[in-house]
Amino acid sequence: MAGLRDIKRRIVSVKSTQKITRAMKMVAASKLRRAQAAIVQARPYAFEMRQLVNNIALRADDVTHPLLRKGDGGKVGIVVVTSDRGLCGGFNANVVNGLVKAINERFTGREVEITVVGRKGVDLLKRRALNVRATFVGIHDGPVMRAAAHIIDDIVEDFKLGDTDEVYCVYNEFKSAVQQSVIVERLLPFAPENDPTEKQTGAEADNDADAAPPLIVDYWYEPNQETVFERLLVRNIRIQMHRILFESAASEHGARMTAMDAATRNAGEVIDRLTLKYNRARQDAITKELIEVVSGAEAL
Amino acid sequence: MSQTIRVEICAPEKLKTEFEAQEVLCPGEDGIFSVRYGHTPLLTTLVPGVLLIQDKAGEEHFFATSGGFAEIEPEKALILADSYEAGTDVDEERAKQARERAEQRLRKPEPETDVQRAELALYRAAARIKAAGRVGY
Repeated sequence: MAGLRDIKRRIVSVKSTQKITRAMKMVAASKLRRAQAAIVQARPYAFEMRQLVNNIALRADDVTHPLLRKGDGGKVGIVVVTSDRGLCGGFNANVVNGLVKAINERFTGREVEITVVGRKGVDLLKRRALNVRATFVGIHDGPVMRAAAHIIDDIVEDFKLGDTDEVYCVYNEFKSAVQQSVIVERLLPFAPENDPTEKQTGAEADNDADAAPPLIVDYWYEPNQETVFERLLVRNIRIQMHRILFESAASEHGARMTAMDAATRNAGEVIDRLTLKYNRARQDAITKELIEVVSGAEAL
Repeated sequence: MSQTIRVEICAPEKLKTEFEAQEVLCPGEDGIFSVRYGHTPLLTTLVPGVLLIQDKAGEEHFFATSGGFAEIEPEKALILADSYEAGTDVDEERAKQARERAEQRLRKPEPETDVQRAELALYRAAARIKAAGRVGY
């Protein structure tokens, strides 16, 4: 007999696994609710600020601020945002795949330097021959704003010095509780990514139609342009990093909730199958015993 | 009746607040300034202070902000505050305590006191007290 007791033991073990996954799902759901509220609140400010920076980057084209410098195909800095904890489905693997794809397709042949956020990313990227500049773990343990500044400030410094020519970030954007998508976003230099100013020569004459802002008057700056730019640009990059960390956190909880929901359901199926097997085995045992008793009685 | 200017106030971790305003009074780096419909494009940094908005109906709204940026365009004023709080939401007791603490720290600064930080804290607290008391400037 396949051991009634063995089957029983397996059922109990799967049941306790199911209990764990169900608890994790519930925890993820409640964390998701909080993270979702945070990202919904963080977005408008970050969005408006990016708009503003894009605006001034377009209007003040004579500005020479180190953070507006256009790169010439030198080293690329990439910030990879992953989670500290596992058991969240393809969350971290997706980011890593997105990174690898970006390196192979978008930045072919360029030198790449990587900053890793999140313990899982550190683990996953350890074995790859990548140039890792710095790693950050446990960023959600303290104030996220400070962590964001901590992560990005050195990278900005490198960019200012001309060490890197572009900075990108690969992370999971939060779409909904069940959907996250990996995004490769440019952080530096600040210019609209589908830059309409690429067509520089003779641009004034031939496209009045899509010159979107009705009056392209440069702003009056107070106290002065340099001060405003310096503060605004530094602030903006920190805010964007801050937002990205929140996006990633919300996505992580969403991904974990989905993964744990699937795991709980799978465990349920396994339990059903094992229970059926158990009942059959028990019935077989009873039948066999009956036959033995009956044939024993007949022999008398 | 003159035209109104659209005001949007944003801060990290806070939803937008929007108004149609007759006039906005902002605590700019170079002093308090007023904005109405048709203002010239202006980009300025803000210092901790009170943001006073007079809405369409002429009602006054007070906000304490702790600095940030303001982007002014003829039809729209965008306030990107580092943080903001409606005067009606301010806990005056706590703001007064914060002011007290900051003043004390500034009065007899110890070597490890971050004077700049204490000053900023003092300005923020003062702004919150003013906003709560519906004092614009």
